[in-house]
Amino acid sequence: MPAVPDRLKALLLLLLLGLPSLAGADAAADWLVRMRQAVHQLDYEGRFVYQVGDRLEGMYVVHRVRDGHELERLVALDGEPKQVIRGEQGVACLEPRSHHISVVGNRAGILKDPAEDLDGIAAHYELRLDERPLRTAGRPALQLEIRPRDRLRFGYRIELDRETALPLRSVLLEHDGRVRSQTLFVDLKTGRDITPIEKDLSALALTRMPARAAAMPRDSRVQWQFRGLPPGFRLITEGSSDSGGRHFVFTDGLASVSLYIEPGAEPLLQGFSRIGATGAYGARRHGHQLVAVGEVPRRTLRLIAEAAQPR
Amino acid sequence: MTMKAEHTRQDEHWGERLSAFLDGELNERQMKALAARLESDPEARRRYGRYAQIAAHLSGDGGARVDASGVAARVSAALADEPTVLAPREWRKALRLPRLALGAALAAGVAMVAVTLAPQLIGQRSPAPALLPEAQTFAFAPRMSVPADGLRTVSLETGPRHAAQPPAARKAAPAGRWKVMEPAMRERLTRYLLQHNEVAGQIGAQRPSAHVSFVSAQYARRP
Repeated sequence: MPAVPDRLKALLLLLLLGLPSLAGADAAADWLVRMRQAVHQLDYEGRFVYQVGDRLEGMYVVHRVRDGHELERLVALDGEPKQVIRGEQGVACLEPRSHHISVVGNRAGILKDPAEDLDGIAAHYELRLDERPLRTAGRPALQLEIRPRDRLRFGYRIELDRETALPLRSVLLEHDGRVRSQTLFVDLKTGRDITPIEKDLSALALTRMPARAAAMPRDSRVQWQFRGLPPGFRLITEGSSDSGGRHFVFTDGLASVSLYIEPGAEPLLQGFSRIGATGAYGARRHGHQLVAVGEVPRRTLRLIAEAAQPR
Repeated sequence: MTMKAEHTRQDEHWGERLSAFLDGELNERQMKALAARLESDPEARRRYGRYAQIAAHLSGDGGARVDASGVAARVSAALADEPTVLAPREWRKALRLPRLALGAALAAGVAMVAVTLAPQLIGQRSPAPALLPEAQTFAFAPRMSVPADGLRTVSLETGPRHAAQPPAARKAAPAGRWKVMEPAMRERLTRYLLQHNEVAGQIGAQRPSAHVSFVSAQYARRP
C-alpha cells in the first residue's frame, strides 16, 4: 500500500474535523428561531457595546418577562443618559437633556410565529451555522451566518450563546462584507438574579398609552397599493401614524422597512438620510410625503417608497 | 415638464448618486458617470464636498472633529477596492483615469468644505457623565400630554440627579445626521425611527434591544 504523504494526511484530518462543524441550513434555521424566541422570552441583563463606523458606545440592558409581557430598560452609558423603558402597553423613550419623552405603542406579537417566515428567509438569504468552538463575552458560543442572495438586503454574522441562544455578538454587514454596525455583550446574566424592573413603577408608568390613541384622525381619503416591491418584501401590517397618515410595514422575514405616508404639502425629507445603521428615504408623490425607514440598502428603501400608488 | 421641474429632478438624482457613492452603493457604470459629472460641474463638486463633510461628521466621528483627509482616503479606498465581479478587467482599466480624476476632485471639494464648516463642527462632543444603570431612576413628572395614535410626546421634568448636571452638559448634544434638518422635521423623523425600531425588533430580533439606534449618541435632539 503506497504511503500517504504527511501533507495529505493533515488535509484529510482538517476536513474530517471541519465538516461536521459546519452544519446545514436546517440547523442554522433552528438557531435563528431559537434566537428570536430567546430575545423576547428570556430574562437577561448585561452591558454591551454598539459600534457604527469607528465609534464605540456602551449600553446597559435589562429584559424580563412577567405574565407574558416583556419589560425592558435600555440605557446609554456614554454621553447623554438616554434610555428606553418597555412596559406592557408602550415603550417610553427618554431624552433627559431636551426634556423629552416619546411613547410608542408596544408592537409585541406582530410576528406571531418566529418560524413562519423560514421559507421566505431561505429564498433570499443563505443560512450557515458554524459550530466550531467559539468564546464570546466569556461564554461558549457558535456562529450563525446569514448571507443575502442579492444586494437588496444586508447580511448578518451572529455569535449565539450556546446555552440560551441570545445574540452575544451581532454584526450587520454590507453586501461587500464591510461592517455596518455591531453589538457585543461584554457581560451577560441570564435567569435568576436579574434586576427586578417590574418593581420600578414610576418608570413603567411612563409606558402607559393614552386612552385617546385610537381616536386620532386618519387619512382615509386615499387607499394605497404597492406594485413593484423589492423581491421578497411583503406588506405584513399597516396602521395609522400619529400625524394622521399611514404606517405600512414590509419585511422579507429578517429585514423590515416602515413606510410612512402623510398627506399635505409640507416637505419633510427629500432623498436619503441615515442614523447609525438605519437609513431613511423621503420623496413627495401624489400630494403625499413618503418616508421609508429601515436597516436595508438605500435602493431597497427607494424601491419600497416608489412602489406606493393610490388605489 | 417645465425646465425648472426638470432641473429639480436632476438635482435630486445627483444628490442621491453622491449620497449613494459615500455609502459605497454605486456600481462602476454609475461611478463613471459620477466622475464625468464631477469633472465638468463645479457645483456638483461643491455639493459632493458638503455631502462628504456631513457623512464624515455624522457617521464617523459623531461631531467630535472634522477629518477631511479621512474622507478623501475613504473615497480613494472605495474606488480602488471595488469587487472585480462588477466589471471585466478591461473596463476597469479604462475607468482608471476617470477614477483618479474623481479622487482628486473629491479631495479638493472636501478640503474646501472642511475649511468652511470646521468652526461650526469642532468641539461639540458632550461630556460623558459616569452613570450606573441602577442610578437611572428619574423623578418623572409629565406636564403636558399630547395623545396620539402610536405615539405621544410630553415634557419631562427630571429629578435632582439631572438638575444637578452643569448647564453646559445639558446644552451640549452630539449630532445625528438628522440634525441637519429643521427641528420639526427631525421630530417627525424621530417618531418614525422609534415606531420603526419597535416593529423591526419584533421581526428581526438580532440585537439585545430594538432601540439601540435611538439610545446611541449618534442621535441627539437639541435642547
